[in-house]
Amino acid sequence: MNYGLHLLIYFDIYAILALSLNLIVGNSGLFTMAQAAYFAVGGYTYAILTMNFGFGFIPAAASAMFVGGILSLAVSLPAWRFRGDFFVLITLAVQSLLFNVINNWSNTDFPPGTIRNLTNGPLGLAGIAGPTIWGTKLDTMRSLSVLSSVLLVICCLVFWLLQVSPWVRLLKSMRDDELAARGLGKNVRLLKIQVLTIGCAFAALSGAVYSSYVTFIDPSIATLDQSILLLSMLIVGGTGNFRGPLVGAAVLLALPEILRLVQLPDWMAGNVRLLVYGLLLIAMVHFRPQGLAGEYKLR
Amino acid sequence: METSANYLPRYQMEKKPISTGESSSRVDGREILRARAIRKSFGGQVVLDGASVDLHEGEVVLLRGDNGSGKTTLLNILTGNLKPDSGTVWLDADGTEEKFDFPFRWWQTINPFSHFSPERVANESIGRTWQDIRTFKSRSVLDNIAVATPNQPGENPLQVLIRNGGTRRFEKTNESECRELLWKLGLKEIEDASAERVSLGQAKRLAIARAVRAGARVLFLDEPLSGLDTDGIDEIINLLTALVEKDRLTLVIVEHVFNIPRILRVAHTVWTLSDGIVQSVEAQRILEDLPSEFDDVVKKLLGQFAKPECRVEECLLHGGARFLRITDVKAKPDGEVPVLDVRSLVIRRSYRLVIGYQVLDGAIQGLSFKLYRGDVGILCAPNGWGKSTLLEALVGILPSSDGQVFLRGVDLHQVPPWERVRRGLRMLTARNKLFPTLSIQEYLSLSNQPSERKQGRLSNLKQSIGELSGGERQQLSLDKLSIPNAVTLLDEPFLGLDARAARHASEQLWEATNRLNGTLLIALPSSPD
Amino acid sequence: MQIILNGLISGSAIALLAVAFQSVYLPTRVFFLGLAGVYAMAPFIAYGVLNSGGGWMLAIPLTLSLCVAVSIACEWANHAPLSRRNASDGAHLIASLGIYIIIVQVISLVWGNDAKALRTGLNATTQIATLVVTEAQLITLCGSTLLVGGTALFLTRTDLGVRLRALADNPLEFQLFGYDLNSHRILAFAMAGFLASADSLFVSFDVGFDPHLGMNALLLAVVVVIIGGYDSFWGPALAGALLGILRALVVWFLGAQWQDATTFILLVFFLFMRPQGLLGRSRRLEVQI
Repeated sequence: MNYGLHLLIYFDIYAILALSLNLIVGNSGLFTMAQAAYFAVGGYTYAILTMNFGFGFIPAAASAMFVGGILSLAVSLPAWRFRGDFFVLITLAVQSLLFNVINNWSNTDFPPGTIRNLTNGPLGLAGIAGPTIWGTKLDTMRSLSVLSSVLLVICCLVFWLLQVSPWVRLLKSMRDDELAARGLGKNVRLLKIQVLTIGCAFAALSGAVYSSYVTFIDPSIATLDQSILLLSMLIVGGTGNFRGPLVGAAVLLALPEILRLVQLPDWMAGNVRLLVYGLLLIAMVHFRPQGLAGEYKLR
Repeated sequence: METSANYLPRYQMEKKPISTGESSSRVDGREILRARAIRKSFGGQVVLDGASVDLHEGEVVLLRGDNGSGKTTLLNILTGNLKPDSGTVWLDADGTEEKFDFPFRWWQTINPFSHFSPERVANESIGRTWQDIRTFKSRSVLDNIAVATPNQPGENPLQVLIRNGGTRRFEKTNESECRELLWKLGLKEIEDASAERVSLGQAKRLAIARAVRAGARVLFLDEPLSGLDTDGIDEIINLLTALVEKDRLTLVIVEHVFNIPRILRVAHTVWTLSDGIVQSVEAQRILEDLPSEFDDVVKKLLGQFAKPECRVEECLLHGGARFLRITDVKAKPDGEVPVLDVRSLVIRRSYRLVIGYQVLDGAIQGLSFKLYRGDVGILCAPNGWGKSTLLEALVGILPSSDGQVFLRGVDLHQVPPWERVRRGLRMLTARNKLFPTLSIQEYLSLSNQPSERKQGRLSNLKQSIGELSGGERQQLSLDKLSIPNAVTLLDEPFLGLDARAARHASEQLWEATNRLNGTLLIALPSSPD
Repeated sequence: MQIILNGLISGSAIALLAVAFQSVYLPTRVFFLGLAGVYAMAPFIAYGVLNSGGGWMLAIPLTLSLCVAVSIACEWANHAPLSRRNASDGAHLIASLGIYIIIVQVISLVWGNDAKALRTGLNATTQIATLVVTEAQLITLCGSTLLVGGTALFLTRTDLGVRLRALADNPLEFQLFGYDLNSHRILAFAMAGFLASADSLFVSFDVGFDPHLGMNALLLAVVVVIIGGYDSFWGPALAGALLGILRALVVWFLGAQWQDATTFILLVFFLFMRPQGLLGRSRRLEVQI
């Protein structure tokens, strides 16, 4: 039973993350490889605020979203100037930069979470308290899964409202032909900031939930490999619509479970999982550009 | 800067009555746009050299000039897509004045909220259409219009989340207004179709409707008539006339020489761009020097190639194009295999049918013609007909959707371009940039051809090709003609050449067919009439 | 002064990788991120050969040829079919990323995830004036310079090189001259694989290696390509050397963790102030007309 709840919580976390990336990649065509970094930013912000300042879940998660949103400027400002591949490179650089910041902002002479040792570097932050909502501590798996699922439902509502709105129609038009959109008087710079801020903020939210569940966070969630995993999630599931990301998140979770069934030795599991993702990425691009359940064909 | 002024035909005298555009409305209308001393150069070449224009409300202006004269550059500047090197632009189309002085000061350039941009100018009620249309291909026709509506609350994500009811209501009204607009424009049947799949004429009307929906009071149109047949042209002209008369819009239409007669019937003023400056004249005056037929170049070519023993066959193709075949009647053995045999060729670009046309029962009829050794084929078609597309498909760069091409009896299906070249098919593209970073010497070694001593700048072998002018590059590429027995496709070979270079080119063409047993297929522009 | 020399040496390695990346990008406009995988696998192959008793005389050619083969395979099986379908840049990128992942994971499965070294014992040093240079550094500097110079000579003095430049300038006209597009693309990929694997061997010999350093190195090389000018040859080479020096200075004065931050700031500066790079010619990368 608990294992099922564990899977459910993980699905909720990754589904929110997939939806946030889909908002950006599936609608505006801005290919960001830095989403894992924002996931980590959310996780770390949540951890520091709850550990050192005793924040409850809602204020800590909200702050995590806020920090993620502000830091999204690192990718949205370059989006003003660069198209296509060069933009992707910038996001790769941002990813790398944020990872290095997280990995290096440490000084063992000082307690973790303070200015001198914000992230505790490779050691990570441990002992993050479980979430507290309005005074009640949620420390059972059941209550945690309820929290994460409620959050997922709220996010689904938010993303669905956005997906059918004129805003997303404008984003897709911008992706089709940015110059023509500008010629109609549309402020594409603002659009790019909007979509990246919202996307990164929700990535940070999922990071906060992750942090509150796993109670331990370290730089390994902010690596490039993680960003690539997220991307695979989207490419395999499909982008541009609502179902695709959810399918992708489910596949992402199912794969390790399937590998476990095949009784792969543990040390191999991580590598084989990534290997399968690599193969899936190539296969999807060549044979099924819309993914399993998506709408937009990445031609 | 190279001008091809000598390439333009002699205008013939023709009087045509003005059907619309009372000159008085131009004088009445208040001034809504002014540009002074606009200068722009690209990499050392001066394109605009102090151009100045005035625009009044309700005016219809034709902007014309040779290819490369800077029409598009001026258009881009006036619509905010390009910053001039110096000059002033003053706008007052929607009641608020705006002045832009160039060059920008340094603090203006690093300002991320750029002062002069397409969206900025669009907010001054200036709209435009593009030569390559640029609809939002993945959206439906209705969406293309709906997205253009300004000040939509639904385009703000916060409003969507917080005031969802309000945004939905606005969107409903927006949608019904857009449907009405589409109905007025005769686009109702396709309103839910994907914008990728509509016909050229429909797409052009869509683009105009979109700009109007966005609130444009001044519309800059970049070659709105290119590629359309007579019906399509009439539709656009009617649409534009209605916009001017009923909605008091102002139009600036850039058109290629060949569609100018149509526009002149509705224009008040003509801006002629040459040598980097604009001369503004009343349309009525220009009407008096109008050519009714433009095939001076064709006549020249015919004169050169057609000798008494030659036969000229002409056939009319769809879309207002003509195909002439000049063939040497004597010394043609029976049963000779045509050197180039095109059968029922159909070419599509995304969903649009470019080569081939639909007959009454819905079937698609492809293009067919044959060329024998030593023939000269001339394809005379208006801009946008698909001349380049056809040539590119023949040489293998573009795939064909249907039909066959035979080179000396061999089916070229799925043969890559370089293989076709090795078998003797050559192509000269229009406005060829060649290899800008290579020196002339490297270029010559690449082409593996013997070539006679070049003149002028071309004799300096270390010169890089990027520094040559268009005409000089064309001279270099015409070397391809000096291969014997080749079938050469030429896409507008006289484009951008001055008289001397054009003469030289014609000589090379003559040599190719007469001395070197070559066969030519030349694509030339023509007028739709 | 020593710092500057160290920086120059590491910069020369970055410059070589940048030239390798450009070898594919200029003629084909493909962002060959899979090159990071080729870069990652090179030292492991050498390691494998050395460990099984083969010497350097076997290791080097085997490594280089295998890496070239993998590069060619990437083009043949992946990028060429996509280009024929006129696939978008995004499709090439994702597929390239997939290749990178596969290569790295295969390496990890075979050799494990830990860092390794290609040499044992201390590094022999030489002294020039007041400067100290290790053997490995000397190899890197000389090797990189030779290869970059050699590539330049190849591109300007040989027919094949001129053809590659022509392909980079105008792929359409290139085909209309009767030259085989596909085989020249394969050559470009082969060149990239060769240069990248050589570069990887130099660096790994100096400081060791692990399966994950490929992407970091390539990203640095791409930054250098942007700063130096994405459509020039000498621009990235020059920028590589300069960036190496800058990074070395930053390490000395501010600490190792500031290296990447400064690189990023420099990149952003160039992107906003001079998008065509130091020696770039053409217009900007913006979404302009």
